Amino acid sequence: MRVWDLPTRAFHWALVSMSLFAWGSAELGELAWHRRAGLAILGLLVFRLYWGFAGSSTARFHHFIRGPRAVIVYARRLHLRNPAYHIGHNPLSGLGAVALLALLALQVALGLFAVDVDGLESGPLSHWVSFDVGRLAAETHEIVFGALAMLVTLHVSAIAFYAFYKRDNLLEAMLRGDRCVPETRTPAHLAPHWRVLPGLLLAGAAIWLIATVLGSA
Amino acid sequence: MILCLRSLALAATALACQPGGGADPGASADPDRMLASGMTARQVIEARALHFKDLGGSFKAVRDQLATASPNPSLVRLATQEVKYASDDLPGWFPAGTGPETGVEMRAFAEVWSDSEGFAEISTRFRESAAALHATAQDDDLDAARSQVRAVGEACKDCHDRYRAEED
Repeated sequence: MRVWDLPTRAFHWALVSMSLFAWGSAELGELAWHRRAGLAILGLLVFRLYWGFAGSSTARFHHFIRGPRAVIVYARRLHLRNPAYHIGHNPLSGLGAVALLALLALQVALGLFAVDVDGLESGPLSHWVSFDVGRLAAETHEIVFGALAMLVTLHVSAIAFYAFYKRDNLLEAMLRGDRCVPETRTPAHLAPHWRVLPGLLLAGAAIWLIATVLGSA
Repeated sequence: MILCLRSLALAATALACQPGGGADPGASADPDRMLASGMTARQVIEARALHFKDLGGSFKAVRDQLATASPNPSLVRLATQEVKYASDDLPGWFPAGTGPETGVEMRAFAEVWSDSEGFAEISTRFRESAAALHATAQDDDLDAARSQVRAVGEACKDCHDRYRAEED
């Protein structure tokens, strides 16, 4: 049964590769590439925000943002070895997805305004803020990176936990889109392909706005 | 105005700690020992960090202006002047006896002092490129300023690569 539509999977893996690229380029001091990676992630996040309202049912925020009760109920049953067969996010992973997306959005926003200690390298919107504010943004960028790294570790560990403890292959679902679930489950409502286009336009417009109109990159 | 006052402060400190400053290198590693300039090593080191922070801010101001479609010429002149003044003063920020041997936390390598010729050479490059940058700004030649700002940035980076530790 189809769980994740193609745009959601493409977003996920593009985000993974761009995040790794952003990390690597920062570590190597290749800040021009780091800025490009950051803008690409910004575009991806804009698309995902749009897809959270216009995408297939499993990609929509109202589908996977659940109240605390649902999260607690699910968390209490987490140790059970039988898979719960959620079509899409379970209440706990929905929470994790929101946390990851929010933290990434914060990270991109901070990067836009960040300035290095020498005033040599800076984010594309840094000329809108003072040196001190830019430095604060850069220092917070560093802290948020640590938080993101922890959250990603938790995410990957959770996938491994489901694979080895619950015998539930979530990785394959995110790669191929399909998952074996009992036929009694209501299938995901898939969005038509054309609906990707407005999201791509929005993402492109956001990148263009920051890179050329507001920015100095 | 604030920028101008900062230049005065920079100039004053530069006078206070000329290179060498009469201090005997390596005579003592005590950071609170008074140097010939009348400042302790610790004070010089702290002032140095502040000078570099100010320089970073001034350089950002130059780059921010030049990045806009229509830079404000007087702001460019002012900010490039800040960078120029700092480049004139920079060798004086490193008097003998203010290196890592003091035990004070710093990113400067001991090579700043042990390879003083190399350090002098690279700080001269900074001074000359910063002076050229300020000259382009005084001529309101923004295209030349944009290319010269890269030359200054290169000088900064080369020096950091050779004489400064990576950030933690």
